[in-house]
Amino acid sequence: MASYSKTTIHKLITFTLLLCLSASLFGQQKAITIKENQIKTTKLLKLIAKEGNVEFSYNSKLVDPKRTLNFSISKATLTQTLDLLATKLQVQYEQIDDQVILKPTTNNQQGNTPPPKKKSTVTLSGLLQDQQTGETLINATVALKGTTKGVFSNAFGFYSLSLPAGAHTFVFSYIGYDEQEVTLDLQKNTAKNILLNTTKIDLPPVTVGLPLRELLNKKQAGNSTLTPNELGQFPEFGGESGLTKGLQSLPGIKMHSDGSAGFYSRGGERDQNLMLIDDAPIYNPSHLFGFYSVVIPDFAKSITVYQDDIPASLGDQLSSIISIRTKDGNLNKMELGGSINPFMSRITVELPIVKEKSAVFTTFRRSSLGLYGATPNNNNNSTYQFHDFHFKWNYKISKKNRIYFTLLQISDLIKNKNTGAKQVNWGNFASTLRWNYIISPKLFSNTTIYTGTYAFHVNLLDNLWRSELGNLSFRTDFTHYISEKIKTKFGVEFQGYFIRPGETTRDSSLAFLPQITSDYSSKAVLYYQANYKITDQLTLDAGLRFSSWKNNGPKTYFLYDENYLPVDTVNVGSGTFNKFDNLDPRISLQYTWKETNQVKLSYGRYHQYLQILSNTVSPFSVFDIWQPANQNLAPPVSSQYALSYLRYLQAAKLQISLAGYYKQANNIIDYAPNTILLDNPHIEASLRQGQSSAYGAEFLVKKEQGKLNGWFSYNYSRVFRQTKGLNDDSPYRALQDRPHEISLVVNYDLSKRIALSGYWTSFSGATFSAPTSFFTYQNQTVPVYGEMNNDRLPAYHRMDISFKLRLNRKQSSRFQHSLMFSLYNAIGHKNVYAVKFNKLEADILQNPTVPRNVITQQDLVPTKVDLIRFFPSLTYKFKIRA
Amino acid sequence: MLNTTRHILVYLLGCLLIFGCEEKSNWPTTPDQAPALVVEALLTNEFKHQEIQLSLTQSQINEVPTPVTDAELFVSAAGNLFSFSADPASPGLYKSTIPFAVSFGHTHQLTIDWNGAIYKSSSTLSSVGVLPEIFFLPAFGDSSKLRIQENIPLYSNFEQAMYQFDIDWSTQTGTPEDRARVYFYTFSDFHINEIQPPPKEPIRFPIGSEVIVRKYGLDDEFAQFLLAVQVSTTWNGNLFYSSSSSVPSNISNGGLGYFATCGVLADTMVAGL
Repeated sequence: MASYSKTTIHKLITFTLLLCLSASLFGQQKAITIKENQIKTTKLLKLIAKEGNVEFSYNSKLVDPKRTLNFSISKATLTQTLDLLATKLQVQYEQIDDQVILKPTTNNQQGNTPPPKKKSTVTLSGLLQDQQTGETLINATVALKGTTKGVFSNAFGFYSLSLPAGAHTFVFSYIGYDEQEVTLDLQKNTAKNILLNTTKIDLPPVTVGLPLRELLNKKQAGNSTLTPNELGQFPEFGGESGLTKGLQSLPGIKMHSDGSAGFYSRGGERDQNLMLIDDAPIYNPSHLFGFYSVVIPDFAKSITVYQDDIPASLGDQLSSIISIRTKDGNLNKMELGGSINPFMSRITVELPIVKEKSAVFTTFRRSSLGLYGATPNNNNNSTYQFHDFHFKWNYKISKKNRIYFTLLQISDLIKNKNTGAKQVNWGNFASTLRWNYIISPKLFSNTTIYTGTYAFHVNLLDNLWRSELGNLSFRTDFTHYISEKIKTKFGVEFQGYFIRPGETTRDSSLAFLPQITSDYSSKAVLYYQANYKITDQLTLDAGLRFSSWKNNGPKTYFLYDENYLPVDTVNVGSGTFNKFDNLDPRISLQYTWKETNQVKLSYGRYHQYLQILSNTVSPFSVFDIWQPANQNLAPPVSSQYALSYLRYLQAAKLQISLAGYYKQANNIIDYAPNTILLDNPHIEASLRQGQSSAYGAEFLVKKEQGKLNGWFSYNYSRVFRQTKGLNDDSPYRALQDRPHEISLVVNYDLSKRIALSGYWTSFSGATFSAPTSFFTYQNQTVPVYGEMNNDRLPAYHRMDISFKLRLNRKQSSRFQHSLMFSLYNAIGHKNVYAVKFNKLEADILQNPTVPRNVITQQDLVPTKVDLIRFFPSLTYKFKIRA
Repeated sequence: MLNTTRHILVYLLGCLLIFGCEEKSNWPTTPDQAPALVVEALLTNEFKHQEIQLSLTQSQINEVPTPVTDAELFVSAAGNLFSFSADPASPGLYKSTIPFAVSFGHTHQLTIDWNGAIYKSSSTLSSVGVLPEIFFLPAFGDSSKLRIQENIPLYSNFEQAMYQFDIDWSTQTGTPEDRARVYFYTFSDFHINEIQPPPKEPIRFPIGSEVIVRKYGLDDEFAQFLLAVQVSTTWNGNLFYSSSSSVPSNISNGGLGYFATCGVLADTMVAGL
C-alpha cells in the first residue's frame, strides 16, 4: 500500500510537471546535443530530462550520484541519448510516455542474480469509431476481458488504458454495435483505433448485448443520457420528436406546459439550465414558442444531462447542463436524408471531402407555417416562420490531430402577412472551432474557440428595438489517463460577454425609448477534476472550479438606497469596476458491489453569473433579457446534496434507480410587484434577491433491450421561495412546485418494419396567483391578490402515440424511407396553462374578448386556457446512402 | 370561394388543434381578507362639483360592489378645505359641496373617515399636453360603421396621458344603451403584456355619432397605477403575460384605488371619415 501511495504521489507530481510543461508538449521532440566532461551523474540526468522533456525514476543504489563521466552527443534523438546513457551507466532503461525508468542490467549482461521480475506498464490507446461512417463513439467501453478493469471513450472517442505488459484480451463494446474481442500482445505503448460494426437489427434500433458493467458505470442517477435513437422513437409533434420533449421525460426535469421550451431541473429556475452544443451555448433552445427544439435531431450524436455532480469542467449553472455532441459526418460515403411534413421539412447531407480524413455534415430545416397564414380576422395579420441551418466540418490532420468546425444559425420570425414586414424576430447563433490533439497515449487535449449569441428584435413604428446577448470564449482542457485507477481532467477557459439589454436603432431622432448602456463582462475559469478508483468497488470523483467574473466598462450604472431609490449615477470608462471570485468544490463517492448495485453520494456547489430577467409565467419565452451579476446583484449560488442508488436486474434486464436530493440556493432573482422589465434603465431597483430550497425523490425503471422497451419514472419534489419584501417575507411555493409527476415511455416492435411508441405523462399543475377579491375602478373589475402562488392549475395529462412503417423491405437497402404517424395528446385532455379573470363570455367558435366599453355593466367569466387538445401529424422520412 | 373555404378550414383547424381554446370556467375565488375600502377619486382642473366614489372590495368576480355611504371626507389644499357629501341618488358617490378646480403648485390632501379608521392620500396636479387630432376608420367586418383609429401612442418619453372617449349614437337609434366609453393610454413604460394583447371587445358606431374626448395628464405614480390596472385587466392574457400582483395604491391604511388630480383637455366632435 505504501509503495502504491508512493507511486501515486510520484505520478501526481509527474502530472503536475506535465501541466506546467504542457505548452512545450505541443511541439515536436527536439534534437539533443550534450557535450560535457566529468559531469556528475545527477547533473547529467537533469540535463537530459530538460532537453528530452522526460523524467527519470531510479533507485539511488543503482546510480551513484557522485560519479562523474564524459558524455558527448550531437543532434541525437531522445532514444539515442538514452541508449548512450544506459551504456555509460551500465543500466537498462524503460520509457513509458515521459517517464524513463533506469533499471539494473539483466543476469546475462552482468552475471548477477536477477531481481524479481516485475512487469512494466504499457498503455493501449486510440479511437473508437463506427466502421461504416467513421463517426467517433462517445462513452464506448474498452474492457479487459475477465476482469473489472476498463475505461470509456471520451467525448471525442479517445480511450487510454494502462496495464502490465503482456498478452491481453480486450472487449470493445457500444450500445447498438457488435461487441468486438481483440487479443493483443502488448510489449510497448500501442495505439489502436477500433472500428465497431452496427448491430444488424431492423428498425427501430434497440440496444443489444449491453454489458452489465457498462450499464452500471454509465447510467448514473442524476446524469442522464438521451440517445438520438431514443429521441427518434418518441411520438412526434408536427414532424419531429424534439429534444426538449425528450428531456422532459427524464427524472427530475419538469416542463412548464404545452408549448414551452423552458424546463425546470430539480426545482431550479428555467434560466439555471444551459444547453451546450459542442460547447457553444444555446441561450433560447426553442422554436414556435417551444413546440420545436432548435436542435435538429439528426445533428445530435449524444445528449448528456447533468443534474447533480456536474463536472468541474462544466458550468456555471445552478441546476443542469445539457451537453450535446454533434455528429462529425460520414467519412466514407455520402448520405442524403430528410423529412417532409405539413408543418416543416428538413434535408440533411453527409459528405466525405477526403475519404477517411474529412467530412461535412449539414442540415437545413424550415417551417411551412407561413403557408397557412393567419386566421380570417382583419385584426390579426401575423404569420409565423422559422428555419435552422446546422453545419459541421471535420478534418483529420494526422493520427494525433483533428480539427472540427460547427455552426448553427437558428431564426424565428413573426411577420405581417400583408406587408411582409418583420414584426418580431429572434434567434440564436452558435459556432465552435475545435482542435483535438493526442499529446501522448495518456494525454488528450481539446482546445476550443466558441461563440454563442441570442437576440430578439421588435419593430415599433419607425424604430427597431433590439436586445442581445453574445459571448466569445477560448477553452483548452486536458484529459490525463495517469493510470488505470486515476484519470484527471483540467483546463482553463476565458469568456467575454456582451449584453445589450435594450436599444432602439435606425433613426436616432425617433429614439423615444430610453437608452440603456450595454454590459461588458468577462470570466476566467480554472478547473481540475480527478477520478480516482480507490478499490474495484469504490470510486472518488473530486473537482474544483475557480471562476473569476468581472464587470468591465464603459458603463453607466446606478446605485440604490435601501428603498431601491437611485442615489447615484456612476460613469465608468474602460477597465474593471466590479469583480467576483469563487471556488466551487464538486465531490462524489461511488460504491459498486456485485456488479449489479451502485450507490453514489455527491455534493456540489455552483455559481451562476447570468440570469434571465423575465417575470412572465407564460410558457412562451422570447423576450429574454439577460442580466449579469454586478455591483447591485450578487451571483446566485446553490449547494446540492444527492444520494442515488442504481440496480440492474439481470434476469429481467431492468435498470432501477432511486435518487434523493436537497438543493439550497441564494441570491435568486425575484421581482417587485408590477415590475416593468422591458427597456427599463432602473430595472435593478425592481429586482429582489432571495432564497430557494428544493428537495425531492426520483424513481426510474428502464428496459433498454428487447422488442418491448421503454421506461417509467415517478418524481416527488417540492420547491419553495422566500424573498425579503415579497409575500410578507414568508416562504411561498415556486411556480415549478409540482409535487407529483409520472412518465411512461413504451416502444414496441410489432414486426421488422412496424414499430409502435407511446408516451404518457401526468404531473401536478403549476402554482399561480389567483385573485382573492376584486374591486371596481372606472367600471373595470380589477383583481386583488393575496398570498403569492396561492392556487394550482389542474393536473396535466397527455398521451402521445406513434406508428412507424418502414417502406423499404430490406433494411440494408441504400434507399431507406419510412412513414411516421403521430398523435400528440391523443386523449385530447385540456391541459390548462392559464386561468384568467378578465374575459366576456363568448359564443362558440369565438375567442373570449376583454371588455372595452366600460359604460355598460357586463359580466366577466373566469376562463381556462389550454393550447393543444389533439394534434395528428404524418411525416415521410428518407435516407439515401451512396 | 376557395379562399373563403381555406380560411374556414384554417380557422377550424387552428381552433381545434393549435390554439386550443379559452373556455368559461367555474374557478372559485377564496377571499382571505375582510373587505377593504376602495377609493376612486379623480379631481381635475375644471371648475365643477368634484366627485369621489367609495366602495368595498367584492369577494366574487361579478358581485356588485357594496357602496360606502357613511364616510366623511374632505380635500384640503393651500389652506382651503372642500367638504364632500354623499349623493343620495348614487350610493357611494360623494360630491363636493361647492364647485372648485384643482390648482397648480399645491398639494391636495384627501382625508376619509370611515368605520373608525382614517384613510389619507395626497396628489399634485399634473399638466396635460395638446389633444391630438382624432380620426375614425371603417370598422372591421362592417364598413357601414366606424371605429377609432388607434393612433394614440402606447408609449411616449415626453408625456403620459389617459384618453376617455364617450361615444353616443343613441339619438340616431333611439336606444339609450347605444353609448360607449373607451379608454386609451400613453405611458412612459412599455410592459410585456402590451405585446400581442388579448382580443378586445369591438366598438363600432355609426357615422354621425357624438364623440367627446377628454385627455387627462398623468403624473408618474398615477400612470403606474393605471398601467398596473391595464396589466391586470385589458392586457392580461397575451402570449407573454407576466405574473400577477395587486395594483399599487396611494391610499393609506390598506385602502385600495387611487386619489389623483389631473389637468384635462376636452373636445366634442361628430364621428365621420
